[in-house]
Amino acid sequence: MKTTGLIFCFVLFSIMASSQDTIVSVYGYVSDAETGEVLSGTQIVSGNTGILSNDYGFYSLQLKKGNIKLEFHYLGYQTIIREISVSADTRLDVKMTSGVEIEEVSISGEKKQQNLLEEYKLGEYRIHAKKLERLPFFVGEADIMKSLQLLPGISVADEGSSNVIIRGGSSDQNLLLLDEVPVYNQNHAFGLVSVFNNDAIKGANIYKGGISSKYGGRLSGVSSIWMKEGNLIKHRQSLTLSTVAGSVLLEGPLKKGKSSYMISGRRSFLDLLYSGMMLLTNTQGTIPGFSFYDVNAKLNFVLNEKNHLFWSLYTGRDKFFMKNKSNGEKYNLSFGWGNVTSSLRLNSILSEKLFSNLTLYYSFLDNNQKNTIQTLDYNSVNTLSSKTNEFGARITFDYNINPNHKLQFGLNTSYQHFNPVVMKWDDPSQNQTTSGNKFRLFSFSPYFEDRIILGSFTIIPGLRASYFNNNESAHFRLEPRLNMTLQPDSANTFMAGFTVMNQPVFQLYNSVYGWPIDFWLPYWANLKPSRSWQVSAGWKRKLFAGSTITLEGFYKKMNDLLYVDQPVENLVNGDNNYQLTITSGHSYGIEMLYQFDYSKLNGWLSYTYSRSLRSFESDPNHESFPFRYDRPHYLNLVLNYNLKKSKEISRYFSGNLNFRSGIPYFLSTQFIPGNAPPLLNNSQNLEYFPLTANTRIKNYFRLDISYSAKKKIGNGSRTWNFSILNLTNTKNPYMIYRDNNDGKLKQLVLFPIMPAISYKRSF
Amino acid sequence: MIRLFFIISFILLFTSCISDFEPDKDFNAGSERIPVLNSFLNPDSLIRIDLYWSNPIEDTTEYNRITNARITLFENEKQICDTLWQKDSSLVLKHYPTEGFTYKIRAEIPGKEPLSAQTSIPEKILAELSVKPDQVPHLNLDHNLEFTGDNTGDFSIWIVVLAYDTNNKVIQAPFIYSDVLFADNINKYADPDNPYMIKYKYEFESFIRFTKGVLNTGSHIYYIPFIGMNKPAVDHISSCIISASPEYDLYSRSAYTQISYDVEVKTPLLYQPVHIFTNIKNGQGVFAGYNNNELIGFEK
Repeated sequence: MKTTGLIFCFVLFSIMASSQDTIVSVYGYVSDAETGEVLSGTQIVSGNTGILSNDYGFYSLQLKKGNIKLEFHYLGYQTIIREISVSADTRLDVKMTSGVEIEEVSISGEKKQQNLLEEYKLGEYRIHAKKLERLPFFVGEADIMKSLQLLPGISVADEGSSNVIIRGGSSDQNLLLLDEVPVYNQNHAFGLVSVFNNDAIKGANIYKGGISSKYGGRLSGVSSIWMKEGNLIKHRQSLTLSTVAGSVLLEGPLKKGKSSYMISGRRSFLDLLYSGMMLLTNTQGTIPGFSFYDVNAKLNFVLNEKNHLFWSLYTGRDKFFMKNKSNGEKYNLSFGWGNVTSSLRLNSILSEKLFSNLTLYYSFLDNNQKNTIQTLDYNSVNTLSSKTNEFGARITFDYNINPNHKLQFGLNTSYQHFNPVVMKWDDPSQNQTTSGNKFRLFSFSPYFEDRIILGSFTIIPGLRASYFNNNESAHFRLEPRLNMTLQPDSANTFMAGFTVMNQPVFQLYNSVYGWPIDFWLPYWANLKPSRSWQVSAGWKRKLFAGSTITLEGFYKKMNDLLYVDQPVENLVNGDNNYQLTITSGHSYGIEMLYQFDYSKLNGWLSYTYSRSLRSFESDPNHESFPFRYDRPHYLNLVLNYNLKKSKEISRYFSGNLNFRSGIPYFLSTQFIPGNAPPLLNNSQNLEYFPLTANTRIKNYFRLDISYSAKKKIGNGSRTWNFSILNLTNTKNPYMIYRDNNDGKLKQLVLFPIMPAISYKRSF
Repeated sequence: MIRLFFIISFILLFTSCISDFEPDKDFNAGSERIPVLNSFLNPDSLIRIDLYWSNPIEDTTEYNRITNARITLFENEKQICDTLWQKDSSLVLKHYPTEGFTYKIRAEIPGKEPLSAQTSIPEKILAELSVKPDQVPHLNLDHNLEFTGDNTGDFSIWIVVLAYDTNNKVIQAPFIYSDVLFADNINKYADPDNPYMIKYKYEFESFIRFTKGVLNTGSHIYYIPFIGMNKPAVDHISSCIISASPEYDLYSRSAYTQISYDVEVKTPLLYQPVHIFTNIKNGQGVFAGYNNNELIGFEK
């Protein structure tokens, strides 16, 4: 309460101190002229003054009265220059026209405008969805999460997974937001693709260091993904068919310029092909398969000049099944998991300097195992499931005090309900539903961030106050943040940051399923919310036309981390025999990113050296051991070569080379005698696995290539994409196990060489 | 034929991706034999302590016993054993553990850090077992187990069902069917072939495990089918109602989880290493107390 009061006083003081008679504000939205969608991150420049439009496309620039010249820059769009005379606060909405083909590579952690210091954010990248089509496709799908894995400091969790590991954290330490709603599961079956259908998303911002105090609740990183808003100007449709799935996108105005819709659906069809063939050829026996689908929908209403209302929905589901049918009897076994997210968002221009965003949201994750028996005289359905619900609200204010001083403050609050074990039995004799322990978490987090520009030096102090309550214990944590940027000349930029984060929730992997069917739980028993602090520093230098090099180093310390060293079902089933193993950890590393942009060839080379270590808190010596995702080296080379580019046709070739160190792994080294009378009376050979990893999976190497051809047809276009995943057919292990028959170690490879094709037609 | 083709293709999709794995050459080099202490304390049995050396994975011979260990044992802080054990056999003390008592053990092995552990003996679970006559001859037995005591103690419960022959030798571990919803699901399956339309089938060594504090109902029924059993050879069937110390419970569960995993059946995609629980400091194995109320159900 005291902190909230201090923040309020600070805001009030800043507002009062900012009133100057000679200064006026030029403000408004920046949007795409063809679609009407807002453009976040647009550079607005006037003389030596500049600013970026915020996440909602709003900008407010404080300038001296008189004639001014404003430039609007956005990657891939034609620059707009406006010369106006202003004597009072002026609303200036700008519509930008998409230029010729985007020449910049699809990563824009840094901007070319050298005097826009606020753009030089430490450890932040922005990826535009439509540029993903320039990267090699993964089994025929452009995928934003796969693309993130190519950035320095960000790595893949497990082979095939869409989860990312940011600076030595675990995948559950990343806050994943879709239109500001937390998403709990990001994988579709086998990690083939993420849940984010590229047709439906606009782009993503990724933060791995120097994280804004706007974000909290996770220790390591933030991925904020934005859905398309729907075309306000004209109706558009597209159809995409890839090797694994088909998708449809429909968007257009409900009332031209005033409201719009966007709906997108994607479904895998391997199961349809396979099961269909099986059914056609046979009416008996077992049919295995898996499927997934996604639906994204969004409505956009321009209520008036000052208020925009958005409603968005995402729902997606995976299903792995075994269907058995014989003699008129059916036995089905299925595993399923899925997300639902929805948000209602109101953007308001409260004054020429003050902008607000209010978001109300809901997020839901469930997974289940379902057995169905259907015979002539008996039907039953047996379900074991877990559910996670989150309701929340966020409000954010952007207050542009003057060109050198911008204040952001707001509040996040959420209520989470976790029901990790729900058993349901439904048959003719009874209908029973029972649940295991339920968990709740209430979170409340006010925050502020103050951006101050002092010549070539920018300092952004921030503070987030987090309150967590799980009904058993409450924790109040302060999270100071600090970002600093110094730009001594036009070529060099130095950056430094300090971030404190807390995390009250944990993801547990179900050992029985071993599938992406995860439990999420808040802190419980003797576990406290995890906490981390991170210092990072970087240097960026422009080398020559279109190329830059960035070096960053970081050190991160983490405490109160859950170490899962046993089957976890009973952890959530009220079994107090299972004592939680708690670790602390630290990670450090150096990251290098070299971006280049020649006339036809562009791309980037990234290399990361990092270590991620843990130690048991019960160990008095705090001896460190490598964390599960400790990868000392990883290197990515991304190339994009324009073979032909014109208004009608564009063809390009792309490739990426990916090398990373093998992750630590457990291999049994000894047999130990075991028994447990009377259950196991005879001595059994039990495999001894050390508590910490004793070997590493071999280094990972993959080379993917892709060729795309796009041709304009009428008002739309068609695009063919041919790609080959793992061109060298390198056997990268997914996991290792000991074969019961011959006692030898075996490795399972998920992705051998894999050609894929996709076709997209837009109208 | 076409169906066969698709099944083979599906299997090939995965099996073709399985190959031998060669670990780093030195990963096993530093792996020394580990001292293993196993001892299960039960008021109905004399105390028995086994000390072994572990075997490297490639060694399939019998386990070597540790034959020069100094073993001390305390019962409620009172020393009841202090011996230098040099025989190639189990150390059996002429002493019965007592319900509610705490036991500490220490084993000193030359050249090694001393092994040590602690456990206690939970109270016996009071229960009565009644058996209905066969509803379908030679097919099943309905066991009605009624818990008559206070079963809210600090222990987990394992119900283990064993079939004995006339020589009192365990000959089989029959399948169990039960409708207990809150039993542990580690060996619980919905069985489409279930002849009685009863919910769960408990496989492997015939046990049902309940987590601590879950079982607060008065009674329940479980069914022991004679499917596949050689009924004529069965003299009687016992139900062991085990109150397990945390050490017994965690060890048994992890051991079951590991040995019940069959990579050929569950597919490698589901595999993950399972650590065997140990409470032995500086070693492996378990020092665990339990109490067993063995109730005879079916008798010939």
